[in-house]
Amino acid sequence: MKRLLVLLLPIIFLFLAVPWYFVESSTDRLFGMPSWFIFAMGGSIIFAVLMAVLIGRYWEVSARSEDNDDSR
Amino acid sequence: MILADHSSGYALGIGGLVFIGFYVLTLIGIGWLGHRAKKENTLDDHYLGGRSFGFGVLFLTLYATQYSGNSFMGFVGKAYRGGFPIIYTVAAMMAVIGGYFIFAPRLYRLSNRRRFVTLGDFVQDRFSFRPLTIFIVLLGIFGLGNYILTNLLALGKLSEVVSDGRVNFNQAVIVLAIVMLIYETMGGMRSVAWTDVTQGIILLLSLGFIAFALFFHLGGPAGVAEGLEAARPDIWKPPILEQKITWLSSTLLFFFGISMYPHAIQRIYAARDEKTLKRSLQLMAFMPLFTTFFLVLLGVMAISIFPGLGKEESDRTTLLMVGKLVQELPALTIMGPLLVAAVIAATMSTIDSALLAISSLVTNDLYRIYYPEANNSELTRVGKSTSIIIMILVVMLTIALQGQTIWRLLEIKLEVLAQIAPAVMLGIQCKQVKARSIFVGVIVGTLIAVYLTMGSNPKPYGIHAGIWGLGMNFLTILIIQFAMNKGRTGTPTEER
Repeated sequence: MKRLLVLLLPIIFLFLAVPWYFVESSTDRLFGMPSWFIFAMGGSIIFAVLMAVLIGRYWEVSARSEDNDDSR
Repeated sequence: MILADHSSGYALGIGGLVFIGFYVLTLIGIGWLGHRAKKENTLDDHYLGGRSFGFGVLFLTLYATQYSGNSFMGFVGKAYRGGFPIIYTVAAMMAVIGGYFIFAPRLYRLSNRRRFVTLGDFVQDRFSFRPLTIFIVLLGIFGLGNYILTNLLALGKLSEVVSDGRVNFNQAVIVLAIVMLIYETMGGMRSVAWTDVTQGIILLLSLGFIAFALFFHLGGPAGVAEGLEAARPDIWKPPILEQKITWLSSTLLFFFGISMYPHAIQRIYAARDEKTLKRSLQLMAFMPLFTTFFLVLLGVMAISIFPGLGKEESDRTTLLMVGKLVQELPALTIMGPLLVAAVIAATMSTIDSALLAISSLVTNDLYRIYYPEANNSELTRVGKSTSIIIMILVVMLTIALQGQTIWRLLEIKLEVLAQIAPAVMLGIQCKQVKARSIFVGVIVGTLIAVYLTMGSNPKPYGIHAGIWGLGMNFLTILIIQFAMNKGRTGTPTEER
């Protein structure tokens, strides 16, 4: 179960990083750019950090190192 | 010496062309060095560089391979036409690393233990079902072949434009193809990876130039906000629901499609050790922030500087912007030819890697089936001959097919490659999954993806044909697995 969650986490995050919550009427700006654009960039930065952490800490989980080494 | 002629916005002068020519010749020198470093005449050495790539080489070869000429020209043109919403490409390029995370850790260990050379080796080892292996290898060859064709076409057009017609399309395609063939057949993957290092460094230098010019000279998006607002008020609004669905669909297509590129998988095999692979992938996750992001900004900011460009013209936005920036910042004049070299480099590094991967798939996964007794030296010779034959065919097709409607068929790359994902990802992570369900799934997925892509609406409900195909692919596997296990009790005897 933990393995499934770890492997699906990037997909779940990619889903959340789409600016679903911004509707057509919102025209807020941040740093001269649309706020939904900043949200998308923020999401991308967090995704990069998430991937670095997953690769660093959960590599063994993805590698199924708990399984017999000869099983495929 | 004149480095660039700004009258047309992007053409290189004689000095610039000499610079590009020198750069291309350097690649042959690097290929020769790769040949000298060759340790043995084996498939391992020719196609995986002896599995000896350290962090620097592995990271830069992954980087140069993942970012093609399309990233430099296509993403920028797309951002010019689509505006801010094209920022989805940043997350999409990062998604590729998410795809690797599902299979690379275990695949690396298996490849090391069982001496895999190609993607087909894994599929055959895992499923022991030759029709499935052959089908997946053919999908890989088809995807890579299309990749080479479209990149060669782009390379020819780019050369024609930046040389202001002094080098024509055919000459550019033929000369650059010969250069790639020379360094690839000399040193195989080692030469390709070492040229990738040069190409990766040039890409990064050029991006540094773009970032500097965009933020310090033009003041970033805020500096051109007024012009942007006047030219394209529509791009400030958030995407509508269908665009958001397409955003997610594109990200998933990159996640499942680009991570399946056979040449990228071979780079996973080629890592010196697990730590090297891990660190390279971690750093790769951040690269879209330094690559795709600046390219998207370049395209968006170009809207206020060159408003009203048509479809074809907008594909040259990168060159137009570089022409303008170099003109305004004479201290950076050398960066113009360097950026053109970067685009050529990105394209060449993609073509040579894909060519080497096709050669390995043909030699290792097809030729070897019929000639199992062939020794390493014969196989290496066959591999080199395959590269030459394929390159000749591809060059002839590129020259013959320019402007033909058949190019639409050639655009099907990721849509088809994504169908391989269940075989690799489930094959790695799910012991219970069987060859037959994967085989039927990949056939169903491919048929749906191709049918929808060739139809009148390749994105029903905003979702790409490849994702529809992939969904049906997974569903088919699930149904067949369920049917096969129905009524079964106890532990499966045939777990792989």
